[in-house]
Amino acid sequence: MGERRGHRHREDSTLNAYALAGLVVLNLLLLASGTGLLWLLRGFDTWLELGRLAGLAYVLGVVTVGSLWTLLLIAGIPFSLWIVLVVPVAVTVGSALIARRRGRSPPRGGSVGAGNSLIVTAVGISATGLLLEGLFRMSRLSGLYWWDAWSFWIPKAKAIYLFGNLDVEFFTTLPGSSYPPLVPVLDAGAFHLIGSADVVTLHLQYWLFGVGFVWALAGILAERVPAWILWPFVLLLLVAPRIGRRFHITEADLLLDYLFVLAALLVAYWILDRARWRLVVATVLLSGMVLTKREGMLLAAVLLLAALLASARQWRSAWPALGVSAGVVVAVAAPWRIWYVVHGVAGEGPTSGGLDPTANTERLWPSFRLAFDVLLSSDYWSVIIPVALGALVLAAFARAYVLAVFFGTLVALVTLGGGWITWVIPELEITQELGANPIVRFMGSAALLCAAASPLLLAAAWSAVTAREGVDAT
Amino acid sequence: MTARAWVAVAIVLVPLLGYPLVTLAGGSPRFPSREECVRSPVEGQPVDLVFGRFDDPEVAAETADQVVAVGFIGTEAFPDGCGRWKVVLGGVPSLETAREIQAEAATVDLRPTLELGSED
Repeated sequence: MGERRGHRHREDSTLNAYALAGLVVLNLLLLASGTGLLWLLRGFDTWLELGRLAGLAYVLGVVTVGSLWTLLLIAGIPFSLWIVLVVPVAVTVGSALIARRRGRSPPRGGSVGAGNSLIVTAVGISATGLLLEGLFRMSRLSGLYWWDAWSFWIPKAKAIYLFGNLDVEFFTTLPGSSYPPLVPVLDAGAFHLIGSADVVTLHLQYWLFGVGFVWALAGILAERVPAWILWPFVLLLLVAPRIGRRFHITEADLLLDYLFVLAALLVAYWILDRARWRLVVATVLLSGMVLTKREGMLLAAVLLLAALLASARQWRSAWPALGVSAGVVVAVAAPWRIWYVVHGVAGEGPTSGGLDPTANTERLWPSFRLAFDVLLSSDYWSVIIPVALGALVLAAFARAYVLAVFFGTLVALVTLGGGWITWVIPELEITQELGANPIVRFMGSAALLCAAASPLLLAAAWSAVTAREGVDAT
Repeated sequence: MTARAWVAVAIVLVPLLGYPLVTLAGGSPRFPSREECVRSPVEGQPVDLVFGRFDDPEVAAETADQVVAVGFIGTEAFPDGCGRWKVVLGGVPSLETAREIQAEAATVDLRPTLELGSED
């Protein structure tokens, strides 16, 4: 009996190790894809720079490979293990070859510096890492408890994994049938490498998305934000009730928010320095957003609108580039919309027409009030929102107008968008109850944006106050 | 590297390596195995006759069709909740009846096993 139990234990350990090793391989492939693309788009001067941007590379790899998988699936290419492996390898090898042909040189050494900021950065990385390790334990042991996850996100993923296609009957009858399939496709890719539709281990994939996002956020912000301003905000978002503690949940909301926030930061930087690679990467992330959730269309639209406003002073050069970006996003969004229209699925738009100001007038004020209430709730976002509002005011006083206008407009538009969703869909109750209205999920994008923008705004204000070289945001 | 850089490396690595090592020193978490999806039948409770478990749903469906074709009407392929698909004739009211069906299946070279009936 003891021998039998020992044998079973070894077998479990082997299965467990196989599943974890599969996930590691998949995510290394995604990281390699994004690193290759970033090397092609901008190059890396030093290994330290590559390390700083590795999180962004990972997220870029996830979105690029996930979007290609999704578009191939929609085009009718069977989603097999072969496709799962070939796409990231092709992206990695292809971008590396083109980068070499264009004369990109490999990164060199690089110095970590020796100032006090080095110690602050080390403490920040250590504290953030510990929190993420704590979240790993929660992710490794989590069951499938969330309604949307087990009612349609994971069933869709299982169907793609098991049948290798978008089974029309199944996909058109599930709840959320018009939701784009990027997240189920990523899940199915993970299942292929895990070796089965193991929904427990899948939570680790979402934890890795979270780690990638935090790394990407810190890496992008570190370019312009001093360490002592940056790391408290990274820790703040990890301990906010509806952000860090939800890293492992196998739904699309947080992934959408990650892409939105990183795209917003890259667009803000692009408006400031016009480094073309930033807009290219932001466009890829925006394209991923419209393949992730239907709210992704709204968030991408308001982001581009805020960018138009913030770049109005240089509209001749900025607006055409933003127009091209918008065109790419629409082109990527189209195939899925064509698929569900062809198969008779109800659309993603509002049921009451959308912009008719005379429709549902009794819902107008309560809907927008609900969005503002959710935004200002410390139960969901801790102190993120009041701190962000303070940072916006300080940045405006410091004449960091571009950043203040961009992020202020964006937060306002997202909040108005949340109110608009409730207003134009009469089926939604005016409530923060998760099962009756998606407003809390949607406003997570505004909260995460506030957490990400605050250090940048404060750094701009600090730079102005100290008149030292740093953020040039005016 | 400077002394300050070594201090920074230590600040990062000591807690990040120490925390999992201390945690794992108390033993790694235990996960249920696939075999634990197989529950022995209990006298007085419904019984399932399981004609096999498969990784591929199509193979499971084909097997279910073959079992139905030789007379075991109502046999279907279901996910077993542990990443595989099982071919089941479910809802047999008693262990005694299940054993009779099992013996009948053996006459057509089928070897179903008896399991505790699933609630659904």
